[in-house]
Amino acid sequence: MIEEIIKLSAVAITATILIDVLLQYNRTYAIIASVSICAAMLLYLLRIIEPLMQYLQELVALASSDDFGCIIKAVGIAILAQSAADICADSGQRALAGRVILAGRAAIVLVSLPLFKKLVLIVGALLGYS
Amino acid sequence: MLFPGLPAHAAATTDTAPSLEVPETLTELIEDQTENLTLLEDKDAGSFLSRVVDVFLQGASKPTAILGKTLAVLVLASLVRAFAGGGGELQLTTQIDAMVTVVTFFLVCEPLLLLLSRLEDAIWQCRNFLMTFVPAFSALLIGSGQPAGGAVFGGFFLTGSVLAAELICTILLPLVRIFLALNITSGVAGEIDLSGFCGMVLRIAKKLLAGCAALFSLIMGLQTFSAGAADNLARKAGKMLIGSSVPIVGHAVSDAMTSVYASLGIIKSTAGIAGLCAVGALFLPILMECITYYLLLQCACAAAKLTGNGRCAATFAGFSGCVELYSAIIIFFAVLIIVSTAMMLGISG
Repeated sequence: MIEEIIKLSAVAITATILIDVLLQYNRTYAIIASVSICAAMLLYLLRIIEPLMQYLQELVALASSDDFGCIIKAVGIAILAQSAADICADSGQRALAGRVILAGRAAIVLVSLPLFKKLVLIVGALLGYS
Repeated sequence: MLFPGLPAHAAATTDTAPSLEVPETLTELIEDQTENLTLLEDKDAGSFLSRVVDVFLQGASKPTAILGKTLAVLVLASLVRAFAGGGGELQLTTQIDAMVTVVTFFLVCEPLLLLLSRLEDAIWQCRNFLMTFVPAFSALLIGSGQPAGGAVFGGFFLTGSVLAAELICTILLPLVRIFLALNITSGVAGEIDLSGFCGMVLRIAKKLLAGCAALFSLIMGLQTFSAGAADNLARKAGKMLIGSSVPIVGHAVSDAMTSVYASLGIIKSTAGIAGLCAVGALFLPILMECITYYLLLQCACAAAKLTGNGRCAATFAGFSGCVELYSAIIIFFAVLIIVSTAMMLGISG
């Protein structure tokens, strides 16, 4: 696992230097390179943490809790939204980064909505409202 | 010549006296609780204890499964929080805490609500049983030479226990439901801390139960002892009058009275003990289940603190306080009936 982290760190540092060089010649290509490297690193990370994902699935099966899937979706949305926002911010598009964050928050609330609907029904039943 | 006439007179008197059989409602309740009452078939203490342990372990299987699922969810939450820790501007940790609290609430709320409804059903069942058992048992008490005791049992005790059942089911249990709703709301909405208010509601409810139990025990005890003294005096005065006023066979008649009262006392004790066992068998499984869920929630609270789920821990602590209140209600109601009936059985003079 340490080797994988060393590889990722080396790729990230190398990509930073190369993108910084690209910025001097063509800003657009630098942004495309940044997005590509980020996407590649995320996909590589998914491959590395595959045993962890399998263990998470086993725990979800043990918990027999379909509701917990909402939490995992929320985390996935957060990681994607934050990555996109960071790329936009690095490219100088802070307004765009803010909108991506807003969209991420809205998506997380929508994903968790079934949980809170069920909770409101139960609390209503406890308080005597059918 | 009078000796042969005495049994005939006693038989005739018995025929016209109120029925001294075990009340039908008691036999029905005993039949319903036969499975629980089989625990009492074993005379050996060791086998009795092992059967109690078996019943406890059977009842603990479902709570143990729920504890396992809750622990799995808490561990999952900690792993997921490790990924979401770098949520940056999204501040995902707060939302994940709220969602994990809701998910763990869904796991424990169904058994807690089921336990609450079982408790309510048991109290209603016991109340209905008392409304038919107490008048019949009062008749047994009167017939066995305790008229004042029978009057106290059939009057104050019946009124008090039925009133207690009504108060518990119409006021206290709905209050517990409101407490559950407030507790989960406090757990989900991190900014609004209702834990102090929920704790206050629990403390007030427990103090009210303790106060009612103390007051009822005091009044019932005073009335029972004074009724017992009056019954004792009446019985001894009656025996003395018969012994001194009836010529020749006065002492024999007085001794025969003692034997009759003793035999009626056996019937009274049998009915009383059977009633106590039936009430105990009605409430004991629910009490054991409450203890199991209390232990489950305490373990879940400790696990939540260990895995860094503070809000979950506070919610579980609230729920365990709620289950403690269930146990207090069961013990209050069952002890109220058992102690009062045992006092009537014990004070026979």
